Amino acid sequence: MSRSTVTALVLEVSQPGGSCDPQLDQLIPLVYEELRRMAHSQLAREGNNATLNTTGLVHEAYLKLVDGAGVTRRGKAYFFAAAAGAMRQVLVEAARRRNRHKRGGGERPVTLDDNQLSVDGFAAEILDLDSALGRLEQQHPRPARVVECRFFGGLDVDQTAELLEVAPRTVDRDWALARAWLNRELGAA
Amino acid sequence: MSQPLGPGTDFERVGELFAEALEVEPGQREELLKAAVETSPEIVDEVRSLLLAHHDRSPLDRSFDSESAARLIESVAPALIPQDLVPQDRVPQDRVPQNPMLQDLMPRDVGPYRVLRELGRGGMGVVYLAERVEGGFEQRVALKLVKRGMDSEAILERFLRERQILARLEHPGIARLLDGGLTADDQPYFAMELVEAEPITTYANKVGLGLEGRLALFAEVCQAVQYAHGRLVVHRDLKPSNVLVAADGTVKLVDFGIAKVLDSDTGGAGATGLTVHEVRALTPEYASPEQIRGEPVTVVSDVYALGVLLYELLAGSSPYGKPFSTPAEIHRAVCEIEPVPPSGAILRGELPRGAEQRRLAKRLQGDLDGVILKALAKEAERRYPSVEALARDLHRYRHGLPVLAHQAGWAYRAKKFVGRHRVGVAAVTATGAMLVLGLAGTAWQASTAARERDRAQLESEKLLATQDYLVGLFKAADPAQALGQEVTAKELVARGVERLENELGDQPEVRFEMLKALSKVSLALGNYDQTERLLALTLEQAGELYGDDHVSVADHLVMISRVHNERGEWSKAEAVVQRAISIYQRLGSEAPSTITGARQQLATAFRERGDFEAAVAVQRQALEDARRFFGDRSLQVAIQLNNLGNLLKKVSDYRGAEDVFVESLATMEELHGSEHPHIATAKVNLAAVLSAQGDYQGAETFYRDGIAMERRLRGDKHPRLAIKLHNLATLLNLLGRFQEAVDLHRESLALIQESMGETGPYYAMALSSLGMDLAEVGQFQEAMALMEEGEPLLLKTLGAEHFTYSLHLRHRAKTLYLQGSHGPAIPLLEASIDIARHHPRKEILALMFAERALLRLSLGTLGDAEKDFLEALEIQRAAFSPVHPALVTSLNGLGWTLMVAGRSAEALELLREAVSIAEESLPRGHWLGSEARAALGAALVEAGRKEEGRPLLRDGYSQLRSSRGSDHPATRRAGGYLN
Repeated sequence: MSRSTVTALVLEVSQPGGSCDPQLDQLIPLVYEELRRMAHSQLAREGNNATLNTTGLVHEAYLKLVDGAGVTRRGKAYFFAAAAGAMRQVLVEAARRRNRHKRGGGERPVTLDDNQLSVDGFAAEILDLDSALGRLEQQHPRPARVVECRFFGGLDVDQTAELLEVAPRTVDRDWALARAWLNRELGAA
Repeated sequence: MSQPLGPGTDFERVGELFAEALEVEPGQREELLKAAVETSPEIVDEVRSLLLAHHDRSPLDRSFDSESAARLIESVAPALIPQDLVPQDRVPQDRVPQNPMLQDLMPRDVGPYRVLRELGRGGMGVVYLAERVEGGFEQRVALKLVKRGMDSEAILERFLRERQILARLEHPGIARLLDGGLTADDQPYFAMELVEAEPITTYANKVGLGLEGRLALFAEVCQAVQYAHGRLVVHRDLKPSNVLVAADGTVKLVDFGIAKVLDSDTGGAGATGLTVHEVRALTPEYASPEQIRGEPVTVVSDVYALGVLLYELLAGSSPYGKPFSTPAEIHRAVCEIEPVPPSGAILRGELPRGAEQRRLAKRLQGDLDGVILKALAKEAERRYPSVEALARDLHRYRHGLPVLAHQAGWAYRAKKFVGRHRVGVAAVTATGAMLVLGLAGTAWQASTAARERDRAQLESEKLLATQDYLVGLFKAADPAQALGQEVTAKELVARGVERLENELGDQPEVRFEMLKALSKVSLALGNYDQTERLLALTLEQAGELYGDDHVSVADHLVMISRVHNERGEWSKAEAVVQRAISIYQRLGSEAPSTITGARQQLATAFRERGDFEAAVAVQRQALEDARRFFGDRSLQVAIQLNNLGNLLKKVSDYRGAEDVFVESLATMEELHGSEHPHIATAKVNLAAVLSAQGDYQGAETFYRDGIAMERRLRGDKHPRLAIKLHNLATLLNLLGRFQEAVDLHRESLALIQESMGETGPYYAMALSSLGMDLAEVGQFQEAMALMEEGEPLLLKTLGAEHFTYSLHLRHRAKTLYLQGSHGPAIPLLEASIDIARHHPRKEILALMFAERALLRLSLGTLGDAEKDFLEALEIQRAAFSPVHPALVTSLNGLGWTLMVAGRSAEALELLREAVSIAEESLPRGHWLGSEARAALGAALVEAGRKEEGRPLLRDGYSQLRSSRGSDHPATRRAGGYLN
């Protein structure tokens, strides 16, 4: 992965008044590749009892992909937003693949037998959440972003507030709204 | 859920209003929303709907499931990492299906499964034997390929949603659903636990089960269905091919919940038409009217299907006669025509009917007809409200009580009454005056009929009142008080007892039922004082209601005896349970299965009083009972095996006991899965037998396993835990880990004190055992004080002849020995030997001989010491394997004795044996091993082989000093040779 490309993008958003959205779109696929690679090597390292430390991965990816010099808080925040989005994609992609396996779509799944059921349940949950989040985005974009950062990126309220450039209180409010909205959407009991 | 909002909606405003609403007091919310409703009603609607969802528990509140995430990513890893990293040996080798003719019809691979051969086919699809090989682990499954529906994707999605619930169904009577998905060409499949069994009807006919056997089998089916209902899973497609029985008679239900997955959840869509029904995955012959009509399905639909199943099982034909051929016929038969009572079906069958059929029809007539027709009622409300209610009514039938299904009205109930009082009626006949008898009989029957009618009515009133009472118990919890804390079972029972004293005096039957229930709960909670009080009340009430010779009275006498046993009041237990057994025995072959429990209590009482032969005999009867009533692979048999094992242990048949325990443990694990109080007990029992055979380390593992499970399941305060801790502590003493033993004994003692009080023999024994281990670590004062406290209690509760008392005397002697006070210890040990001589556990006697010998050795009476040691060794060599660690004590002692007597050549041989046994059978660093080495070293020195002997002696001595202290007699003996 090109460290310089990522750094350049982050530096660009770091400039006051630099527009963000196009950069974010470019940033996510770059970070995605790296995160996916890192996720696998993390799991390979830890062996059978591995857990996926998303927060750690996101931070590790930052250190790896961005040359910190000259990067403002705003730039850094943007990177993390992109990383959270990328993490969501990593999981959703894995869940989709998993689902395709289940439907006998050619590739044989290589799974841990005992945990088959919980993994499938988790995959289904991820897919449900992802599509509900997509719908939430249509109505309440910022609360959706808050969920992305906190749930997929593993960021806490303050970190999320910083990167969305709002007060922590607003993050709390957005979270409450998104939570209620998703509860209703997912029919949570 | 509210209607989707249009694209023009001001969502930002929704967010703001939602946030505002959350920030004001809940009381003011309405005001806030009302103010906004004028300008933007749809926004207010949306906010209201969100507020409702705000209180839900949310999937987002769980922390991110990083474990599942890791597994998810790993499970798809091969697709994401370069191909050359995927091990190639994962692909299983080809297997040729058994019948080559089927090869082209049979799929080879289904999802991750390799299909091996066809097992069967039916209306819904085909079942194959398949296997999955992964990571060297081979799993065989039954793979069900469902006929292709119109919307396979939807089926899969539903399956994914249902799976977590289905995967939670863990019951010995239910085959587990393992997996499901779509084949390459979109055909839904399900992988299930492989069960080698056949349909219940086939099984029953093949083994020629009689009515009672069929009902017993059906009761097991009910239990499994009831279990699933308790977990909110309805089967929806119960029929013989889904209710299987294995060769050993265990019931296995298959396809649980699949019907729901296959069923369309667009409720109204499939209202009529057979084609839709096929997709809806139901079997018309077993489907309830509401299923045929496409109405919502509940537990009562399973009650209906069970009714059909029982009908077929007993009458040998379907309630609707011949198979259906058209949808209209199905609809009419299932939804409209009242089925012929099963007894009628037998007589009207096409096959020639002999005397046997007529006899069977007669037995079905009335009660069983009534029960089955109630289960088959067209209107769901008229059926039994639950499978449990159905099962209970059948249970009542089997025990000669009137059933709640009053299908046949009062006349039939009168017949029932006469049936149960046949002796009385016969006596009236014997008076001989025909005319008078006729008139009197009629009048009498009419009046009892009225009584029976009242009685049946009472039964339903009783149920209602019982329910009311229970609901009242929960309601009575003051919400303010209960806030933030769950009401515990203990509190509920206490509340229940309190209310029973003031209420329900006018409804003795309800009061009786409640007393029964509360006694059981209280006993299960280990609250013996309360249980005893409750049982006394129950017994009184039962006597008032039914007379003293009734089964109910006997049942409760058994429970009382159990309380006595658990409190160590064995004579009382015996007296009470003998009364119960004599009531049961008067019933002859009609005696209910509870007689097993009675025998079990009697065996316990005999055993605890030390009468082991009688106990073994009674225990074998109980085991036979259990096999007869419940079948070989049943919980009851497992429990009785366990009890037998305990007794065999008492008579020193440890090998036999080990076998029995292993079988019992295996059966329990098969029945319960891995975690259950019975399994905990079985493990602890196995541990005790291993310990007795000298496998201390194995024993410790099983003890700790069992105790940890017990703690997880029953908490840290259950009296049964106390006994287990006590026994583990005793093992730790043998392992030479005395401080750990002291700590555990203290915990055990506190628990006994708390749950059983300070008046029973267990408390006394616990005092004495703690005392001895305190002495082992040098805390003599406390040790003596505890033993002094325990002794009078032991004498009072067990008497001076009891084996346990001899153990206590031994503890006292040992304490004196460890203090260096040898003379006064001898008479104590003699007394203890006198008692133990009459006891079957000779190895304890051997230990006592060895200990007396040690005292004599210390006192210098070498001849007597040698005699004692030889006697101990003789017993031990006869009873134990040649490497049993108990031999080490005797060999060490005899070695020292011979050495002191100047016979070091003889001593050498014995001490070499001691050293090698210690190395083989005791953990490293065990003090007996150190003593053996020190003694061997000393003997070598005595024999003139100083070079060889001194290092061993020095080594052994310093180990003894650090593990037992310099004042321990063994350390002193070794030290004496060192200088």
